[in-house]
Amino acid sequence: MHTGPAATVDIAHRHHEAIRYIRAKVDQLLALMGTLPLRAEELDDDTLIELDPIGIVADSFAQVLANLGATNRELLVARDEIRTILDAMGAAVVVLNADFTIDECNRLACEWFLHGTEPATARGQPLASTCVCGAGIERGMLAHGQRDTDFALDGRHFHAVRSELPGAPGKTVFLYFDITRQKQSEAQLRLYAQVFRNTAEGLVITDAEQRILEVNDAFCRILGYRPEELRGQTPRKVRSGLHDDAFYADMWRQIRETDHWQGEIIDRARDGRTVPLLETISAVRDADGAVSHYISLVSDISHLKETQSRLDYLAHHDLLTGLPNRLLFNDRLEHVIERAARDRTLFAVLYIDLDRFKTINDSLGHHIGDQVLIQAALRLRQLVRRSDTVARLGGDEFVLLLEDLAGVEEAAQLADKVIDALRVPFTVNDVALHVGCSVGITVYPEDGRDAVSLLKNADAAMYKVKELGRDGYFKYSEDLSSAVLAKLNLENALRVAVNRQQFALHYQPIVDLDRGRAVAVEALIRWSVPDQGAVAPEQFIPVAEETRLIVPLGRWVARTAIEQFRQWQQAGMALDYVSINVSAAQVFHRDFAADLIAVLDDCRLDGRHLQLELTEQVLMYDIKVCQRVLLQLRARGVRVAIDDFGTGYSSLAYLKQLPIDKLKIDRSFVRDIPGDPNDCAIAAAVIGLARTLDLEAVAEGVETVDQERFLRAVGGRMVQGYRYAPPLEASAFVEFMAARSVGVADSHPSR
Amino acid sequence: MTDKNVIQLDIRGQICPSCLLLTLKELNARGEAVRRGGTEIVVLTDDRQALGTIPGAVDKMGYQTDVSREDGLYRIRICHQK
Repeated sequence: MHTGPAATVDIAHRHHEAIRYIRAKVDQLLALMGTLPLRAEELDDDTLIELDPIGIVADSFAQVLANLGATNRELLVARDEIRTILDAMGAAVVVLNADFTIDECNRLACEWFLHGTEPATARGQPLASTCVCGAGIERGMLAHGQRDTDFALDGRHFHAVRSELPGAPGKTVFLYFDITRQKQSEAQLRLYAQVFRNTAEGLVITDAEQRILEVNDAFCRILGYRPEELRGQTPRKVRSGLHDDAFYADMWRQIRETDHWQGEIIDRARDGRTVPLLETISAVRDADGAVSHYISLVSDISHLKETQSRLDYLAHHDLLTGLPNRLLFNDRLEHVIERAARDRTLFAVLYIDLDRFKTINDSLGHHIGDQVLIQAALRLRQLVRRSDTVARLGGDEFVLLLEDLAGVEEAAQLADKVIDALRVPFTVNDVALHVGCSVGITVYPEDGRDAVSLLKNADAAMYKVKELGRDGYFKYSEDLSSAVLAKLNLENALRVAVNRQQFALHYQPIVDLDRGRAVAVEALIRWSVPDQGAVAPEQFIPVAEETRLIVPLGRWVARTAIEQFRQWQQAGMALDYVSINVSAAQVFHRDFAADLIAVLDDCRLDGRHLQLELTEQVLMYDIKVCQRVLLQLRARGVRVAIDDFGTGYSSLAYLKQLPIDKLKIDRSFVRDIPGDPNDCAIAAAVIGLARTLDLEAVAEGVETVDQERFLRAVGGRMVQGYRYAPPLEASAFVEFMAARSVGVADSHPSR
Repeated sequence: MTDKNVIQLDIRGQICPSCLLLTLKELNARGEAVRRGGTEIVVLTDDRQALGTIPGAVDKMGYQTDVSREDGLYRIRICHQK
């Protein structure tokens, strides 16, 4: 090693250089630490070395670096946190740099707009080349200074919001929200509003307190209100008052329990009309389950109701009279039975059949018959209380339902009133028609506990009245049903007999006391049922009349009698005429006169050889028709006798209008003469009357010589009865006539 | 307060950059304890310039400072960053 002046200078120089270097580096380090340089006068070289500022600063730097490292790690974590948060957001986020490159973006942004690129890949890319819309939206917002805007992309709707980053000039944050569902909801709401406005059904929306919030046009139209008149009101405003409180209480109970009610309701329109509606009410509940609204849907069913009630009316009423028909009557009867069974009350059924109606209908035509039915219905309706039912069961059958009966007598009293009311002649086209009726009565529960028995038994009782001579009432009793059964059997047998002509005519001579011989003959019908024997005409003739079998039967009688008479006449039997009985149903049958004339022509018999016997009742039905028919026959010489004279109520004025030849004195007046002064007076009066009217009188049922003598004494000349001959079979009659003379008493009583 | 270990560094009369170097030296020695939180260093100085240099440097190292003035001298409290 070399030591010397040169070496010393060199060492000093190097020391100086080292110190200078240390001071420079210390100053550099201190400047980095943010403080002033060391000044030489403050710190000499030795202290400098001793203090070791480089060592101090280096140690401090180690701490600075460690702190920086920690800070960096924290920043990275924070950045990742922010990205995680951005990715978790329900909106898309894009942060753009001033040059329109992507600074930051989240997953939704990549998914929606950046073709599904990873966010890491997208950062730094120009938005224009990455985005599906070519950054048009963002450029547009910036250009127009828009803070937010809506746009649609691939059928989805977005709302974009732009904001600046205050700490980062040049950067813009865009947030995008998917509003597709909101848009759909809006569209749906628009659609609902459209439906609400335009539907044909009326719609009302109320709040939970039933205040009307909204009504549609249809609702306003149906009830005639303007919307503003209804909003804020409750539906009570349109109540009709026709439903009781219980109706609404029931309705609301059901809505509370099921959130729903449907039914028919009658509301009142603004002008006071009532409007039948089909209404559906639904409760709307909010998220908590509390009722928030009620929606009510109504259809006007006026037309439906009209049609329905018209159909209902047609189905349940008789159109001619407006009375309930059988269907409705049966309904009511069932109902009344239920009530009477429950309340243990009585009620009565009155079965009413018009007498002689069929004759009127057949002879004068249906239009006249219809008028009689209409008037009869009116009379019946006026007789009963509003609560009682009058129904027409069909044809000329009516029925009354008399409720809350005090006793059977009450039904009988009403039956009397009915009979009286229908006995008053009906005036149709200025013609008085005599009808009358037969009434059968049943009382619940004694005459039947069900509808069928009550009606059937009332019908049976009514037929009993017919059998008894009509114009009256009869209360049902149990033994009546066997009678009805018998009658039904009779009806059937009669029908068979008419078809097979199982009848015979018997002939009873009519004797002229002056001439002392039979001058005419009455043909009388006889019917004998195989295995049962003879049935009396009083029994089967009413049935034949009722069933209209009398028409073919009468035709057979007429033809048989005429043919027989013609045969006898040709055989030389000296008789003036044959007399046959005709009933109303025949006379009023439109072909009656023509038929008879045809038979007469057929048999080449002069009309004067035929006599018709009619009862007073037949003539009284309709004097005009009788007159026409009889005059037609009279023109051919046919004779007319009034049968059973004195038993009816014929008016002489009426009789004078008719072409009548004879009055037949009923056997009931002859039977007790001469013992009964009343009968004697009647018989004498009839004979006197006949003479006055220039008619002949014929006494029927003459059995004794005393009767004959009396009749003769008061001027009677023509007689008929067992005293001379009973009705005889044709052959027996021929024998009777062959005997020529009849045992007639002396004209002067020889007592 | 009672369980805090407070180390007082009285560098009155010293001027920068000595103030800073003395503070850094102390902190290099006690850094670990201060960062753990149980210890803090209070520097007492009368050099106004130190109020700019000491907190700036100490902040970069990851400590927290607060400065208060008491009777014409300055009190710089150094503790761990919260």
